[in-house]
Amino acid sequence: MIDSEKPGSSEVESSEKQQLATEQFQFHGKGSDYFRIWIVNLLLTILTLGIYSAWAKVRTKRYFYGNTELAGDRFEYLASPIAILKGRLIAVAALLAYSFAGLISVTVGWIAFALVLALIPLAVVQSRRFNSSNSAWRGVRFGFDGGHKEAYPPHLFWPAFGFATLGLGLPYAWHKSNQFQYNYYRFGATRSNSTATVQGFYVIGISVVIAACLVFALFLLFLFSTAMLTAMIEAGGSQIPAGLEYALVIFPSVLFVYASVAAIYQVMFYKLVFNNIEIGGNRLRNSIFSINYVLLILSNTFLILATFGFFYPWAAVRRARYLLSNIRLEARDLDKFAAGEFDHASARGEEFGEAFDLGLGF
Amino acid sequence: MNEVRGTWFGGGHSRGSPARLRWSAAGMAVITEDGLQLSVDREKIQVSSPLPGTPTRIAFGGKESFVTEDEYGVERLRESLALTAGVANRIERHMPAVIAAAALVIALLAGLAFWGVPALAARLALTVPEEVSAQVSAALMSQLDFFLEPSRIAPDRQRELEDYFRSHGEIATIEFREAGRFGANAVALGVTMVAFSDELVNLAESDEELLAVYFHELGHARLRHVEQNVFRSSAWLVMITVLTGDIGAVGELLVGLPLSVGLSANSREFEREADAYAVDRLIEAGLSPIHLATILRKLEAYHLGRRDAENATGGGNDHSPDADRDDSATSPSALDYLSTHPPTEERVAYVRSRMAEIE
Repeated sequence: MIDSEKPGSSEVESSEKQQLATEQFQFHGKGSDYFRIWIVNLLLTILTLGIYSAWAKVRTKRYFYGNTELAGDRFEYLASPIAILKGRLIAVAALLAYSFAGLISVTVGWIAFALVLALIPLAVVQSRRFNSSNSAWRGVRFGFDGGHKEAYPPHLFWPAFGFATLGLGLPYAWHKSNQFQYNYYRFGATRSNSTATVQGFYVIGISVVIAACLVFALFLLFLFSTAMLTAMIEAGGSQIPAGLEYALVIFPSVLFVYASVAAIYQVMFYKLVFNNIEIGGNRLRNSIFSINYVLLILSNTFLILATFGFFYPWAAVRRARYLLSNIRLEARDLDKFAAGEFDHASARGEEFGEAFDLGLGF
Repeated sequence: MNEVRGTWFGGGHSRGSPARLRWSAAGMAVITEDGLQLSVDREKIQVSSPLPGTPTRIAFGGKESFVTEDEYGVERLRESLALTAGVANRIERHMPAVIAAAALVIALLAGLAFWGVPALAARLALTVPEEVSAQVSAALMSQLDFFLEPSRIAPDRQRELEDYFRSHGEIATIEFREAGRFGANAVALGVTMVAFSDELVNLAESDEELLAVYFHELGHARLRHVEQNVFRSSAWLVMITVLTGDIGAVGELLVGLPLSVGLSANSREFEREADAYAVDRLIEAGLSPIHLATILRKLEAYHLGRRDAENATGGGNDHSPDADRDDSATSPSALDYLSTHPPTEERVAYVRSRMAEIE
């Protein structure tokens, strides 16, 4: 552990000298262990026609949280599978209703679509409350204080604005969403806040567009050269069926372009978001290196495809290990976070079935 | 006297202290390094279920918790509390059981794709009332109409064809449309509706050829293929949502693969069933099944010609949402198994084999 002094730390004006310790996140998970958990989860989920999926989720999260260490202690995931099962049943019912709505008539389909849009912000808040209040470190739970009404602008209005402006307003929507997310998180009774700026999100937006153009140009060049090759072979008399071309060249190339751009976007996003989170004078810092991360994602994607999905547990563990080994906490004092007063309330809320997890990935 | 070493968290602040959990016949207690000693109520103790490589959390009914990485110690504690391991943990502890689980997952997914979901969909499809199916057809038709133009075939000719078709097999609605870029095609849109494109009507050189197509589509309609497809895709949608909620976004591939293979294999199976139905009905009507083979060949030649023309002009590929795309020639032909129709050669060979049977 490296102790370092950070001059000009502006968070707390304190007369005493602020000692900042750098705490490295560590991930202890192993692919072989996670494979056991994953395959059993998959088996029991299929055998129980999906009912077990709630337990599977808890076991997966417990494994990843329980293997993440900060300053000598592991994180904990404490959710009850029953609460998750309730959320799942509601989500499946909604999904079924939604997919049949479009078949009844076009109008009913649009009404269902509007209804889903209107419910998304509520689902985001419920899901965040549930997940944060069921996450803990050193016996203190996290929490999320964002309200339902406050969720509408960042999850409905600003994204709509982003699309209406043909993407020009999208980085602003990301900024709003980030503020909503990280200004309302808390650890125990201590709120976090995000110092990420709009400019930062615009830099990401512009970089991603440039990266997409570059990767796409490379992809076109590659495609052009293969087309030339195919034409030459065909001119020589043999025929390459269109389907084979699709399977061997186009599909992997599209996947490559997609995975590369997605990885670049993720790295930039992580950097901006995590480097600007502050909680009780402690700050996150990360040193993810774009090219390494892109290579990791590409090799993971390739190996998952090559093994028909069976490499997934190792891929997930590799990714978690890489990400966490690049995140540090500039810690001022990690011992003095008080537990939140609302901890009991959220535990009770769960009993009322108020805080259920919708299990939807946003 | 048994004990496990770990960390004690009071729950009030984010600070833990090294501690030991001790138990004997007399009772149970936590002793921290700071000298704190707390006796623990055996009845209220909650031990988190065992998970490979993950610390165990022991709670005592309140905010306090004791966390340990000592797996053997926890095992002894579980024994003394008479806690049994769940099914999941019993499997994941033994490597042979894990391998068996993996084999079973593969078998189950394959079984679901090729047998379970189709069987369920076939049953459910029969329960759909005709009125509901008619509503679905109308909705599908109105969606298709975004891409289609009104028919240019003379109303008299349309009525003549409709009467001719209906005299050989009743159906509520027969529609004609100019299909433009979709070209010569016919679709069944549920149990009550069959639609023809002008291009197909013009491509046929006799009404018997059109009747053969009509019988093929009537087969799709009567055998409830559209409804079956709807149920198949929703069943998979639900399954994928439920399964991938936990196996991660990329794990979708594992579950998604049987979906695409299964669905396209199923659509080929539907085509074969509809062909068989058409041949039966042609024979019943006292006509030669050769009409079906003739129109199939014409369709293939027509679409091959269009593909070459499209390739020359760089035209796009069509994705009509119906169950009966005659695009075996335009879709990736090398991956025949993954395309929606059996190859024309195979279908023509089937017709010929049926004709040989009659003779």
